[in-house]
Amino acid sequence: MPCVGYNSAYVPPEWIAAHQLQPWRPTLRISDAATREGVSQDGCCSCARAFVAEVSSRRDVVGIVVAAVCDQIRRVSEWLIDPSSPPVLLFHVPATWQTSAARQCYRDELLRLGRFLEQIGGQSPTPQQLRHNMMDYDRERQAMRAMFDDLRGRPHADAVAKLHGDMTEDDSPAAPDHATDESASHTPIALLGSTVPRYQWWLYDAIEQHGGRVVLDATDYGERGLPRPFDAQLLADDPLEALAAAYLAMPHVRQRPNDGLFHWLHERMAHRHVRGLILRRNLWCDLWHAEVARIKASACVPVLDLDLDVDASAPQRALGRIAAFMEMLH
Amino acid sequence: MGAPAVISLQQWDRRHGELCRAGMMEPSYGGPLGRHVQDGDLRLCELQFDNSPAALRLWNFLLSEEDRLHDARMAGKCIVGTMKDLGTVPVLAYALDNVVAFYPDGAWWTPCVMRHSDKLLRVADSLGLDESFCPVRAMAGAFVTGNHFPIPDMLLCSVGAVCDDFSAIAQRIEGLGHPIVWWEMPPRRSPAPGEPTVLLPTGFTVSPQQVAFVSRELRRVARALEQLTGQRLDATRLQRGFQQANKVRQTLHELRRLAYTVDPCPLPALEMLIAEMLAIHFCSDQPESLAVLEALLDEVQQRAQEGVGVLEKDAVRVFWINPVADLRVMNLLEKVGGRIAGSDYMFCHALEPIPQDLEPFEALARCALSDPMVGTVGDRGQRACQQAKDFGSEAVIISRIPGASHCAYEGDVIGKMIRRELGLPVLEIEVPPISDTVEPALRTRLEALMEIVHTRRRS
Repeated sequence: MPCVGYNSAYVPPEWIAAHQLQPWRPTLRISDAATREGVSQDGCCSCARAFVAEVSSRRDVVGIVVAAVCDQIRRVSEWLIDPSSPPVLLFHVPATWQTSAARQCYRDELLRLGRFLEQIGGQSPTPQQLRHNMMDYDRERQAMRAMFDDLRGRPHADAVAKLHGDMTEDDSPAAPDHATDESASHTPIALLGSTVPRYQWWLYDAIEQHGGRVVLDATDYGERGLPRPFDAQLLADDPLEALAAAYLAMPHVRQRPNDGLFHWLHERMAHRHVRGLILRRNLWCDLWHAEVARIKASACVPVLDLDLDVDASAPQRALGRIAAFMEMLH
Repeated sequence: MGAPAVISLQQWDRRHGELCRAGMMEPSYGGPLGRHVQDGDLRLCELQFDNSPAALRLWNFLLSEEDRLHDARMAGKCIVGTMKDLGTVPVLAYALDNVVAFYPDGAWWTPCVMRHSDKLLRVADSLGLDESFCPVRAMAGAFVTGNHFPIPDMLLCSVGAVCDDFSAIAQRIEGLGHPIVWWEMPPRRSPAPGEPTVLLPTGFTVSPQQVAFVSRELRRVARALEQLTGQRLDATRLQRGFQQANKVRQTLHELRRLAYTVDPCPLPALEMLIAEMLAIHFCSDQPESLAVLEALLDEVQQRAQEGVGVLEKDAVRVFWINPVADLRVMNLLEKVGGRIAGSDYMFCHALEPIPQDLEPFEALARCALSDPMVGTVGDRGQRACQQAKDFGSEAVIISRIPGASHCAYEGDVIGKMIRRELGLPVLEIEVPPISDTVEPALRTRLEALMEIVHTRRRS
């Protein structure tokens, strides 16, 4: 089945699948992310660059959907526009999420995405087909939520990746000297931030290696990036509206206001008895960076602010800081 | 009044005395420029100014804005802080009685003007907003210290297709206890094939669906203003507001045309940058901003008629992209033999007249969507090419704003476009709020650009 690459949890894979196309949200394996000739990497988000590099590398991609969830990805999306590349749709996700206008705007964007999918070979779904796809995905997500107690860290991230169409085996490097004592008790950790690219999944190993366990993955690929279950009545009456309502309600640092993220986080942290919070953010990501002080002030547990780029020294520096943080928590 | 020239602050203060003795009449905010240094505007000592009374009035108008805002508060007027949209919401606000709108964003120049004595960036640092953010982080410092502008009665901020820096800093300000009415600005997109096209005042095109959406958002903003003030923003009031705003825009249009085309250059780059800024929120006094611009226009028209200017003839004609965090760099350009011939200081949408033959909110939505920053870099580059061509520019300078999320991407794209389509030399520089430490390198690079243009002229 022809494949459609996309970059964000705000692009519903069931909407793409309902158009008889294969959704694929790359987990970002390419660490030496391509950059344009003459463009300094200074100031450029490494994940945005990695997305461009990875989505351009797969030959069966017939279309690319870039959700403009930040200024960086909005601007990087222009790099993809090339006569020799698959068509690109810039998908607007409203930052204002509490108004009916925002909901309507997101719904209109879904309809525009639908027309784009039809132009690249997809087929418009009937309401019944859409409902069917939505229920399938909803069931998978429910199953994933049920697994949260057993499936932690890297396996959990891998399961989410598969839900988003990244079916390849996890071959990303482990943390150096990774060995975990399964019998030992672990300090419950919440991991917060934007996308953890697959080339940095050693983070999960490093946390375990030092006696921690990610019990709340609040990154974009984690639990925070899963929409709430669809409203049954709305699903029956108007599946597209049910889709829009569930997806637009996902908490995100970019929302204005973004209090919803803090409520969501604090509620889950309390429920999972989290003892330490690691904020993993990309260097140059202003949206997360600006919130560090607020996150530290509002969290009832110690917070480690981990800014990561793709330079060679990043893992070693991060590992040292994780080790110190975990030692402090013990 | 003497021949046009650029003079120092000390020279201005001497000249101010002479002009007063000769009978110069000044507005209430007038006076010698040197008094602003006593208030902490230390950078003025290192700037060069145009020597006309019209320029004096412009500077005094700009530098007295904080006093004006405090006076407005004392007079019981509603103070509205409009953020990020640069030119749209103030038009709505000034259509109401007893309302003053201003951009807290403007605090981004305070560290430069006050030569860091304001400590705003240090306060921003303490909030975790360090130098990896655009200097607009000074705005957060101003909210914390409360030493600059009065805290507005209402804050309105556009979000969506905006710089991450700004959005993130604005959210922090809300987190500090200053509620914000957020309104959505989607990324401008060209209409899909078969979809009707709307032509915007800046020449970009957009889908009618986006115009309708932004129009609805602006109605929401209008309702918030109505609730704040107890007044109705009806069509009559809006049309009157548009007329006032358009008078400012039309005056500025003529001023730009002359200042950027007449040789020798009739008005320095620095004064023109400030004059352009008046369009976005009228420096907190709409009628007076028009009077200030009209005085400048009179001066420029007279100089053009007399064939005199502030620079040597044949200065290198430069199209400038993005505003500079350090105003002194505009002086530097002229010191090395350049002049401004066209600009895109990120608010060209505020320079175009608001259509008055449309439903008011649709007209304003079209202006908002004309913002070069809400569309693609390609769009912005195309417009820069067209403008550089229209103004007869010989070189283009893209001035990066340190830390700004758009600056890492746009320079390369726009630069390549200009080289390809116009064959002009392009220089990309980065200007911090106080550029003294990088000035030697900056000067060398600017001189090299001038030399390239001179070589091209000879060949």
